Amino acid sequence: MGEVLERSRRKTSRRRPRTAADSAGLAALQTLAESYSYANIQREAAAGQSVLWGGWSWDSPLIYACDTIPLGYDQLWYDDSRKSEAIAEDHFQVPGEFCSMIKAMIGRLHSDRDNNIKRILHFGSGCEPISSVLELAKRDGYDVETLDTVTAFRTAEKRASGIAFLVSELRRIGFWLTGHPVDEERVADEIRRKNLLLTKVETLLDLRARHPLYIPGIQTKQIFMGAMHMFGNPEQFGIVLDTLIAELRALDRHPEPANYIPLVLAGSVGNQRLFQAIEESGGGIAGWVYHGTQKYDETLPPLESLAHFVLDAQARGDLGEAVGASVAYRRILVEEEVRKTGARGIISSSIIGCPYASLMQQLERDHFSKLGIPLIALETDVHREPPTEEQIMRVKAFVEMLS
Amino acid sequence: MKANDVFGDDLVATLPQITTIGVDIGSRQAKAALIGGGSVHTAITASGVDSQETADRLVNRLLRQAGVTRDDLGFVVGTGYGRIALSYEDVPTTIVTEISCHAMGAHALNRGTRTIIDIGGQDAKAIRVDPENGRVIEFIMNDKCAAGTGRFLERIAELLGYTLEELGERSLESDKKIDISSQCVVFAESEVISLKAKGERPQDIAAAIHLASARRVRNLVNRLGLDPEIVFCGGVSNNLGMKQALESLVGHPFTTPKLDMVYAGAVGAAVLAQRHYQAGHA
Ligand code: SF4
Repeated sequence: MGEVLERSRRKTSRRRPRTAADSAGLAALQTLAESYSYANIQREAAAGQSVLWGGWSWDSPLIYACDTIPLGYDQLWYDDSRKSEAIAEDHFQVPGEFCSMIKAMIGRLHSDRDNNIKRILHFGSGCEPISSVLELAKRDGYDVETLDTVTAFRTAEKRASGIAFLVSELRRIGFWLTGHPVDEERVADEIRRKNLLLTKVETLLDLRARHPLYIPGIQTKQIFMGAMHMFGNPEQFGIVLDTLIAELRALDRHPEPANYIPLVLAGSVGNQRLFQAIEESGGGIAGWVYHGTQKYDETLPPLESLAHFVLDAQARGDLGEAVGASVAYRRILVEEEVRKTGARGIISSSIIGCPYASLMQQLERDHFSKLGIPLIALETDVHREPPTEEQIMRVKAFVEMLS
Repeated sequence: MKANDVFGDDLVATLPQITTIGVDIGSRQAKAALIGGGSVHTAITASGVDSQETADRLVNRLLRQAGVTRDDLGFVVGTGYGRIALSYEDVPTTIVTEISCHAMGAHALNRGTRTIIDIGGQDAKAIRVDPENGRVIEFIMNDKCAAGTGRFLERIAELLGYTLEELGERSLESDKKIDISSQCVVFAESEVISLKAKGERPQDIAAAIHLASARRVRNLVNRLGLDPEIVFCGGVSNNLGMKQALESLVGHPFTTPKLDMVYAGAVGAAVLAQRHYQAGHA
């Protein structure tokens, strides 16, 4: 019963600005995110800017040091995803029940095969189906480079030979992008710049944990993505973060009672309407296990620092399937986040048809059921249509149950 | 019906002296319940295209039945898939999911309820309820597969030449066990057609379909754990064939409250509306 009562009270007590219209930081974030669109970057590529698909994650300092903008794969399904999926199923015969990300990716790469972003960088330790899809993309004339697989599931397994191998792979990629050996000083600069931004993101997330409704889920996801690729404009991203941090600090000076059910979100939610459903029903994503905010070691030679970063991320479970972390790790990070934020429940999210995430969710379900922490497993896709009413209802009922 | 008979004296004693309505707009049927003046009234109709219009019809019917006017209404709670469209300018209204409403409804109608199996027009849910207060402890729902849902059974009834009501009743006349191998709606339909072509009796096919569907629901419920007392509600709860098949698979008889459990969601919504009023949300 209390859920409904709580919700009505909440409606009257949310006086703070909550939308991009009310917050200068959120408005600036929106403008920045919109500028980092496939169409805009395509225009930059046509004007001679070096651009590539991929390279937006742990490897972005190297890509920026090569004067190249990394374009996130998510732009491949940002629009026309249904059409792209149909191409994957009809032309490439990808089974219908397969991951919608994969299908949208290969379909869009195929339909856009004549445009000017033709280079793709992939990390071989990441999602295996993506590797297969990129093999198909080669037939459409894409220049695909794969950083060969190196894996260390535990820090102790991080061998010097593995680091040396990854460093040589990164050098090869630098050469592929620029035609000459990469300027390692530039990589070091980029690492310092990214570390600075990651520190800001960390501060922002800590502050946000106390005001989860001020920066809603959709915008928080943008910040996580920005922490990786910086929207092709690291300076502006830094300004956005500073603005938002200042706004959150101002809220911190006048604390109000928490009028939401604190939740931890594990993974991303493909469908944005689900974020709204969580927040409309009184849930606040106080903690989020998505991309980590770990820093690069600036004391190491820069390419080694990148190599250590990715292998450490694998051993911690940060960056998940993007770097081939074990499915067993996310639940540990989620548990830490639950303890840190005092969350009352967990929303575990995955993409329908993802073999990696479905196993991870099963492990999470069992683990948190033993601990007695309520968890709801959501499966979404990459399409932009609103989620089904059943999906929304499950989310709302979960929040009602926790209130 | 007297509220004390339906809910018991203990619950009625905690309710304010006010008239409230719960409206549950399902995918197939819309149900509503009015609590007020010491009585409980219910109404049901087919869900129309326009949820608000359907709800208005039900509300007016209930007001007439109870002999009260709109001005007497203290609070309305809307639930069900059509709930999003519900709003009243002249009566305080809020929306609650059917999971919470069914839990509260089953609790109000049978205080010991611990597990609810709810099969509606297009989904099946299992809900664990706190018998102390009717709050949801855990729930699970199957919204991807139509097997066993009202929509599926409607289609099978059509194929066998029965009405939906007859499908359940006639399945109890079965004296031959037939195995339906497919649990998928599409394949089960073609299996029914070929069983008919082979000359199997419709009663036996109906019983087989109920058992196959019940197996699917049992698997869902098993994931949640089954604590008796179990209450069966939702649109399919009146189907005797399905009830019997589920009881035999689950291994526990279902508790039968005093009111038709098709109204559980609406009654739960009306009880929640009483609580809202009590909390001063009007
Ligand atoms: S969702 Fe899973 S299968 Fe799909 S691209 Fe990501 S890791 Fe690969």
